[in-house]
Amino acid sequence: MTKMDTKQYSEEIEETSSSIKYFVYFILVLGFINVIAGFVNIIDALLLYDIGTINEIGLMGNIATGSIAAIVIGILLLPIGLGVRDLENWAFPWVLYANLLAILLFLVNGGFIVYIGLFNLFAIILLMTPQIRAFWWKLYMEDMGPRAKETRYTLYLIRKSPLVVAGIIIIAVYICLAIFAPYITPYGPTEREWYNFLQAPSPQHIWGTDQNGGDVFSMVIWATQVDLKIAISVVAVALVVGAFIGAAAGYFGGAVDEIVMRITDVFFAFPGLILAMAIVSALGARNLDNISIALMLVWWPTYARLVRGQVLIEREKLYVEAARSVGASDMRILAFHILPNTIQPVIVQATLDMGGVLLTAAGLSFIGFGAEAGSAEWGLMIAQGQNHFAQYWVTLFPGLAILFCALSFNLVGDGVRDILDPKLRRR
Amino acid sequence: MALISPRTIDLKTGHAQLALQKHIAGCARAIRRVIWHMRLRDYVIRRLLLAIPVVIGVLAITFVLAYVMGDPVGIYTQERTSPEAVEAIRRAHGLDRPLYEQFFFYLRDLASGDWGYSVSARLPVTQVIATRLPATIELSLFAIVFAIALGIPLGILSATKKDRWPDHVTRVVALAGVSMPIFWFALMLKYVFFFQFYMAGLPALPEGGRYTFTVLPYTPITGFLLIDSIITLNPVLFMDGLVHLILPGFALGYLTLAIITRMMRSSMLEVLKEDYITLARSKGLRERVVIYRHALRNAMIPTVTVIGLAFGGLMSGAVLTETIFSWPGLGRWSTRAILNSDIPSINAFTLLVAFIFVGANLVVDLVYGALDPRIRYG
Repeated sequence: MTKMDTKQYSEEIEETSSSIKYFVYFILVLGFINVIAGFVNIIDALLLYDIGTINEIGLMGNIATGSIAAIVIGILLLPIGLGVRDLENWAFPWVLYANLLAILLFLVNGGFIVYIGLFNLFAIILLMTPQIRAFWWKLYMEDMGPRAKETRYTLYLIRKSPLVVAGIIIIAVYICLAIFAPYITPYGPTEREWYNFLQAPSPQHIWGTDQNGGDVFSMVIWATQVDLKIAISVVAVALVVGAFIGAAAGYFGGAVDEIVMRITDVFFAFPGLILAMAIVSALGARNLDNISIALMLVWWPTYARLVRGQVLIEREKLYVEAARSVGASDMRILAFHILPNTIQPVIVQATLDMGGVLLTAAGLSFIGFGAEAGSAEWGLMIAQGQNHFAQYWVTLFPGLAILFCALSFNLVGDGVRDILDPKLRRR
Repeated sequence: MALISPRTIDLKTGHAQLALQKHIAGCARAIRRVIWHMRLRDYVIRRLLLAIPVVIGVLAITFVLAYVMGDPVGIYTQERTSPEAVEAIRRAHGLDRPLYEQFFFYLRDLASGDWGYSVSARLPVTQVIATRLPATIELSLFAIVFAIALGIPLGILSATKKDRWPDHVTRVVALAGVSMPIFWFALMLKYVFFFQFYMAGLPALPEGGRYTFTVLPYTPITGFLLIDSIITLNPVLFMDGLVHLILPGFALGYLTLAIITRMMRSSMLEVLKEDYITLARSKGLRERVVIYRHALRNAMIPTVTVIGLAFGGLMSGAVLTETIFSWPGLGRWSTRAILNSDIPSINAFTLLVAFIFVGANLVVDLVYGALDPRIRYG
């Protein structure tokens, strides 16, 4: 449908229905709300930092995930809203993408800004109402037809493979445990009954108690929050940074490529755990934030290499040539044409690395780099139970928690890699 | 060469021509051989040159980390040391110089064998390494031999019996190995084979250490306990050392075993799909011959690389395993050094491990180049 047609179409539609007009207003207002919420969140984070509730890293994280994202998404929503008003094809899916991204970021960020996520959710619901859906869904599906078909086929293959389904279910259970920990656990993460130390499993403490009288069951579940947060944040940051650097290296080639690859070589010269150990001791304080930073520094070269390799392959393909001949800029080709086609192996690698990061982080905190003594963290709990042979439950259950968590990520990663592999896909 | 190829030879002229032809074929073979060696030599040189920036980068990173870790003056001073004295120490050790000069000093010290003084071990770092490296190497070698000896047959078994129960069992074992926290696995092994066996009155495996030092005398010669016990013809010590190696070696080798098994399985499956395997089968060769003579050699190539990479995991794992089994190696020393903020030791350990890792990968790449001619041309 050309632009001319769209215009006429829009005039026709505007006579019959005014729902799109209200939707545009809503998107524009939502954009403003997002921007304002971002600024308010910066002030809020600064106040919290001033009081001392959060440290520098918390402050940076809060501003990076919540505020900057809210402001950027808010500013993006304004032209998108105008695009929706003109019934531009691209604008509708972008409402969807922007709002989904906003919700995701607000969930990660936490705090009051979560409520803004509800507005974004409302926008998505509005987008899906039949009146508005009539404007864009059919065209969108025509555009995305082949890709949607592939996605549906992938989902079908995933459903057919029991191991991947099992992995996804376990991951979902872990995420639920992390979210609902306050409602599941009978005791708090640092709650102790000092007179009940090293008790065998009983109805009171179903997995027994540790040497300080902490309830092992509760602590294992509380630790899900801590460990999953480390794994997710490390992989996410390493992926974004690594993908950015790797894409630049692969696309521009030459000296940039050479320098980046030599740097990654140097990082690969160290075993992960040992480099992380050295970085943590260089950072000074031994806490979970520093473990995360160290692991991010250790893990980004993996993604840089991977994305570079993929970009080198994609760069030579015809569609890139076509985009360039139309006059698309380098950034545009890289961001909208090449990167979406390199995403699959990166996602597989990220899933597999979740397990690896989890194990390395637990190992680090086992040796004594992790959280301060007494906090609920799997590696630390195992370390504290290692001298109590007769009381096997202190080490057994946190270890099983790590094992199953890493196992589920490996199952999903392995299975999805086989499913996405074009050589094995259709036979 | 095309001029004197067999087709252009006059058949009537007989012997002389045949001799010439043989001679030329021999020459061609020799030339090809020389080219092969040149290619291999070029490949080796290229690979060695590529290692140089890596080594420089490793040195730079360890230097920066040590620089950030803390003020080295700290170990020479007390609370009452006057600021003038601190300045004097700073000047004496060249710590007031610009960073690049300090980096140069650092390189000079490393090259001249002065790796610093380990406060936590109360010995010069080089001496600590000399006493502790053999223990770690012994453990790692045991682990890697165990992993290779078990992993490759398991991988072959899994690939040849694809989607039947041996395959499923092997895959579960391998997957568990990749997802298992090493330190927890080591503790569980210790719990079962030391504690539970001991409680049940069974012959329990030792809890930790390299040998029963309360009973057996041992003075290191090479530092490798097993070799030393053979040199001194001491079967009791040898068996004792071997028994002490079992649990830590198994705990450490399990991850490598899992990685090797997975790699072997997938590369074997890949190779078994090739045409030349179908040909070998259609010739009526026995399945055993097809797999071990034809398929195995090509399937080993990716596995060899993985073994090199697994060496890094082995060094990481050694840190955890040695801590648990109180193994007097580098890993245990490094954790103690870090918990005591012993900067020269941390630095030396990181550097050493990186060198070992780079060296192992270099060796593996060279082996890879010798195994697979395609690599040399790349």
